Amino acid sequence: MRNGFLFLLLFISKLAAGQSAQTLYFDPGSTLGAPQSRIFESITYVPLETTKQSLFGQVSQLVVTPDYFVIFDSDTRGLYFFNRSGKFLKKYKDDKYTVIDMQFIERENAIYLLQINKNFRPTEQERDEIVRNPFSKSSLKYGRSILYDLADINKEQISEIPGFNIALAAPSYLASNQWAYSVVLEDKNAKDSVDYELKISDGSKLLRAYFPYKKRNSSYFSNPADIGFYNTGLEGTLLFTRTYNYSIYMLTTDSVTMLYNFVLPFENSIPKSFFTKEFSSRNELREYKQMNPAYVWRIYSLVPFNNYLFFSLDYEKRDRRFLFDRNSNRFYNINRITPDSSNAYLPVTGWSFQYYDNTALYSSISSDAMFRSKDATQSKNPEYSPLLKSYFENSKPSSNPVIIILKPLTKTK
Amino acid sequence: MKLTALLLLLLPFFALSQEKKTAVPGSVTGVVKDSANDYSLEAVTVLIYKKSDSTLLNYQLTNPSGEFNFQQVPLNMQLLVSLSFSGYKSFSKTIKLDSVHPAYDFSVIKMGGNFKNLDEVVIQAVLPIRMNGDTLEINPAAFKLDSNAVVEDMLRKVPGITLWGDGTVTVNGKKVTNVYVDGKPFFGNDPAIATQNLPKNAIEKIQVYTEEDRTKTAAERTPSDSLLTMNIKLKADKKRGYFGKGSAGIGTDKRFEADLGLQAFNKKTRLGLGGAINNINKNVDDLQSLLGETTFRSFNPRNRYVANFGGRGVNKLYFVGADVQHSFIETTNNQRTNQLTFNITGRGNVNDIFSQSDGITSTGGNTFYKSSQRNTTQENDSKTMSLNYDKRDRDKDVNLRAAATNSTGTGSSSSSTLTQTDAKGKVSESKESSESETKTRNVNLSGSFLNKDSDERNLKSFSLRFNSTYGENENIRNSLNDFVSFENAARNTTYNRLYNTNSNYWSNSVNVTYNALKRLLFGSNNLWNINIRLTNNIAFSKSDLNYKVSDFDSASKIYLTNTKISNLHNNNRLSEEPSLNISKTFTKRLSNRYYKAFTFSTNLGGQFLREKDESNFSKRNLSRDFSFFTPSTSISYYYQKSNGYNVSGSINHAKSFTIPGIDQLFPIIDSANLYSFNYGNAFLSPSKTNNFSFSVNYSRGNNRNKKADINLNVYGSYSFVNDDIADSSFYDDLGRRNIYLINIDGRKNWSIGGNFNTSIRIKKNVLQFTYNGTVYNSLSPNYIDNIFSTSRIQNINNSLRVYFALNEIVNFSVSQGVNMSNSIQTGINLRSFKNTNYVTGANINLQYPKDLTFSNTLNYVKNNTTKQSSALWNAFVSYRFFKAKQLEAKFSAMDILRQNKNILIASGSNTITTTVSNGLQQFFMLTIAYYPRKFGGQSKRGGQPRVAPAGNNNKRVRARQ
Repeated sequence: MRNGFLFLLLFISKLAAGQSAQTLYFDPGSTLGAPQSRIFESITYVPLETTKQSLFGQVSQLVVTPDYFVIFDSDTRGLYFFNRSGKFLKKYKDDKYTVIDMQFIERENAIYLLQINKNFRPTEQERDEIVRNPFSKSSLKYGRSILYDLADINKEQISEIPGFNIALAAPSYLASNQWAYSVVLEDKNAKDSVDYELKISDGSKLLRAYFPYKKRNSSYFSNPADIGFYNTGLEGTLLFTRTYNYSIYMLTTDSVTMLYNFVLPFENSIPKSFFTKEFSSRNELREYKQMNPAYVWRIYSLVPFNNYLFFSLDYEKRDRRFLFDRNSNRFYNINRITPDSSNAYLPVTGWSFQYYDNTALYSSISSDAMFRSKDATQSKNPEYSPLLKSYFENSKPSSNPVIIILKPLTKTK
Repeated sequence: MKLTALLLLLLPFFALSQEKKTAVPGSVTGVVKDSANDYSLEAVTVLIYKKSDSTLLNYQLTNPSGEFNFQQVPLNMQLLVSLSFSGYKSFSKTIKLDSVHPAYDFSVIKMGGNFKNLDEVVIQAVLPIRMNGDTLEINPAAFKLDSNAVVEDMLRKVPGITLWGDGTVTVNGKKVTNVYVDGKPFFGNDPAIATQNLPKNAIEKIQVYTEEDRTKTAAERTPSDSLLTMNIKLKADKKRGYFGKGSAGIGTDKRFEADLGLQAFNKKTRLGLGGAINNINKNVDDLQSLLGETTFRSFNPRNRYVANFGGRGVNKLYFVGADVQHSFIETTNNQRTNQLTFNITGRGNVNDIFSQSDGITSTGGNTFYKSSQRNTTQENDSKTMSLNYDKRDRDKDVNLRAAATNSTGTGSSSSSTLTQTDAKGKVSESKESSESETKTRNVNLSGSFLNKDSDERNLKSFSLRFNSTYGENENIRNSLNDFVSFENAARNTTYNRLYNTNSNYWSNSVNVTYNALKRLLFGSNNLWNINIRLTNNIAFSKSDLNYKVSDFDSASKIYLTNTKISNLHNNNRLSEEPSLNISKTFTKRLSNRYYKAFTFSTNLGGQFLREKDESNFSKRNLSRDFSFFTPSTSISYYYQKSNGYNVSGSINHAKSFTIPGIDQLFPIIDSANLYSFNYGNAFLSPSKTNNFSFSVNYSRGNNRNKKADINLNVYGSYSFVNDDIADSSFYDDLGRRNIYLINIDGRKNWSIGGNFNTSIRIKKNVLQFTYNGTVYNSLSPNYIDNIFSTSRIQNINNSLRVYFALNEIVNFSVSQGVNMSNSIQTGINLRSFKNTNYVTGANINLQYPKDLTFSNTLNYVKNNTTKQSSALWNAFVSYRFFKAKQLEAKFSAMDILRQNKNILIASGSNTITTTVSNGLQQFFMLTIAYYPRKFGGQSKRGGQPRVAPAGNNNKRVRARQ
């Protein structure tokens, strides 16, 4: 909780001083790089045990609790529990459902799972319909939300949350009985002309709503443009970003505050003309996006940690992941944070940060990539930890993926 | 003689390989880091130039650790090593390697800040190759080639891109399926028209990316079907231009050739013109293939479009064609098209054949030896016109096509045949001659409409295809023949018969497939992933025939109608084929390890057929109804090992029926056909065929641990026929065959075949092996002179080809093939035949110096049965003149050995025939070609500003809306 608290404290103090949101001028084309040891205190690789039971494809969703790595793999559609040293403990699989969202709810000591019924394959229109009316009775057959009790994982204690019918809106836990969710989608036949991008609900009824938009004719919303929520480590506080918007906001149980406002270079910014353009169909909108690969459609994948803010840009460029260091006001390109001797020249991250808590960031990488990287760097005589040494000796490129635990330095060197 | 020829062929290779050995190469290595923050820089472009003339020798992008490593760097030469990277100052240094210090290590190069100590040279950095998102981009400006270089010349220089001997292009081992220019196919699907014509200097960049295969419906698409596409983007001021080739040649033995291929294009419209005339059996399939053969490339390693010595007779032909394509939208996105294409083609040929055939026919009582000479002259002329409209959007696809063809033909032939037996010697002799004239006209309208075809969950997902053809035929033939029996003069016959045939037909078919049947019946329920589709095929056809035959009456000197043969016939056929398709796919994926899919698909289909025949002969008035159950099933498997190999396989079964035609039930016998009379059988039933087939494919490409790419295919089929319509033949003592048709069980066919290809890259050289093999077997029960016999036909073909390309200077290939065909009769007294051909080929192409091309081809065929052999050696020398290389002179020496023969061996169930016919003989020819070319030029708006070299600055490229 310490780090998240620090992070918040900084802003709260700033806001208290009457400052408005900080404006950040950010050019993704001119960002820094660094050897990883200037950013990270340590990078640890935890190979996940490979057994016949535990063999899985990839880490599609990751939750790290004090005791477990909980992994959902979309290849095998199983939920896998490993202990913090990578030993396999338990596999849970429900043949009827697949998981599309997973959250750790600390005060309940449970994993929240949003499950989708595999027996149905709704069309795009039906999916829109479900998303528009997540509370309708007919949509309930498509999925459910449950809590998996972590007290004894072997018991498979599963409980549906009573009276919780916003499951299909993929809500994010804010505080006890407060869930934030977002459905932003144009509906030409909507009854109400105004809808809200951000809504807070207790599971059955709406509590509050923010950011009104015209539901009937905002053709740039003809493709879902939902808000993305990110944990802060503090109960009752989430960060969030909006589509077609370059600000980072903080949501608490009673307020919305803008923390940062990014200003991007002209060639990366969505032009004003985009918002007045009439897109005749979803396809036309998609085509426009294809034709303009340099425009940033949103900021996502936020990871607030200490004085760092990791984030990604949604556009068609190779370098999408960045790091903002508040201490030095510098921007780093994650692809240019390169391995060095202190992490034995192994990859710094998999393709994204998949989880974070008060102590570290978590990513994962396939064994195939680990072995390839090992083969490519032999000339540098890397020194492997005993764990890695035994991993490279006893595993194969087809073994289970490896969890990467990254602990950032309190201050970059 | 053979040895000399072979030595001659290989000589340039030996000379060249020795020359190669002299160079001992050096190396240049280093690591690139950011000077301020000390981290490794990935994807920095490192270029090595020859300092004296700034030729680009090699380049690399640094790896994730910032390293670069050049091998094979030339020694004793001033080299400029230059590094550039987006957002950094360029770095460069002049170095020189020699035999004492062949390796230069930069150790760490720090980019961005301090480089005072290095001698700095300012050069405009241009990145040759880079990744932009998922697209590989190649920048032509970075490749120093001579000003006449075409795209293909540049592609040869790009690491990871390989141009194969057969014209295939691969990028990192994966085959490029589509080559587009500005997002659209360029004059059809032959990539050569773009890559061998467009000058490198007209190209802004080349993009390589992966696409979905849109020629297959969603149902057919499998994970192995993603396509690699290469898109050539023209510079803004080069989006209009023309190019082509005009050539004419004259040779000994009155041989000549002339070809023209001309193409012009602008942003929306493309025009192609082509013409050819020759008397060297050089055939043109269509306009597109002619344009593909008249490209600017100076190297002709395939030797495809040359005089064909294998063709029968001597052929004089002309071809003209034009093609206009207009696109109504300007898009660089191939997912959307809206275009109209107009095509007009005319062609004609005169073919003269003299042939000598010797046939052996084995029957119950006798073996007949038939020997005949034949002279044929055939003249054909046809004209075709077609209009094609295509409109495609993301989920809608419309195609409409209208075409009309008009063709005429005249022919004359004369022949004489002598038949002998072992016992009696000569038994009969005949002389025939005929003249004919044919006129054919037809119009065709076809089209398709696909709606949301790839989404079977959408209730509006369907496809519709239709085809309608109307045609008319007119044929007049006059046939004179005399048949003399040496046994019995009473059986001599003489005919002077005139045939006049007029017919027309109209056939229509509509095919509708509804993809969303599951959706309609079961809503959003996934139904265990089972897919259900409904297909309906309906076809209607109608034909009218007026067959008028008359015989010359020597008394009255006029032709009198022959009422036994002349007839009027109408046929109506209605076929309705509904089918329900049920399929399920099981998939399993383990990321970064494997993906496998198993698909089971069955069509529960049937056919309802109504066939009605009307004739002035009462027995040929028939109305028949049939209903058949025609199920088909397929099981397929696909396995992909990540970074490894792919395996795919399938097993199929289908059941089909064939109904006997009216001429099998109630034939009309024309006794002017001297050697074969068909009496049919009124009680024939439909025959039923069950066919099983399988195929297996293994392929490996771009495997990081293996140097060789491998592709292996094995396929086979087995079918058996119940109630097969077979012959029961009787041979009379003159060798004439009387055929009665019967239904018989037990006909079987099986075949198995395979091919194996491997390509090994050894530095800049390529070694390829190709093997092809097939075995075909058939068992056909029949009766010959009342003896039950099963004819077993067996064909075995094998060929192995080795291809080697040394750099770009020389390539050669040798191939050996063995073709066997055996025909075995089980009936007693019936003879069996064996026939084996050995085919040897060799090919060598040398391009040295640059403008001089020298090539040789050698083919040697030996037949074991007839002990005949034939050798063909052709040689070509060509030279390009002037700076722009727009003039070419080519000298061809054809059939240097004067040993070419055209031998054709055909074997039937109890007959084997060897035919030797005339063909081209030795000639020498000189051909002069001119290549008109222009790209870009003065635009009417006063010309566009020149685009600055894109360099590492991608910000300028995109235009703002």
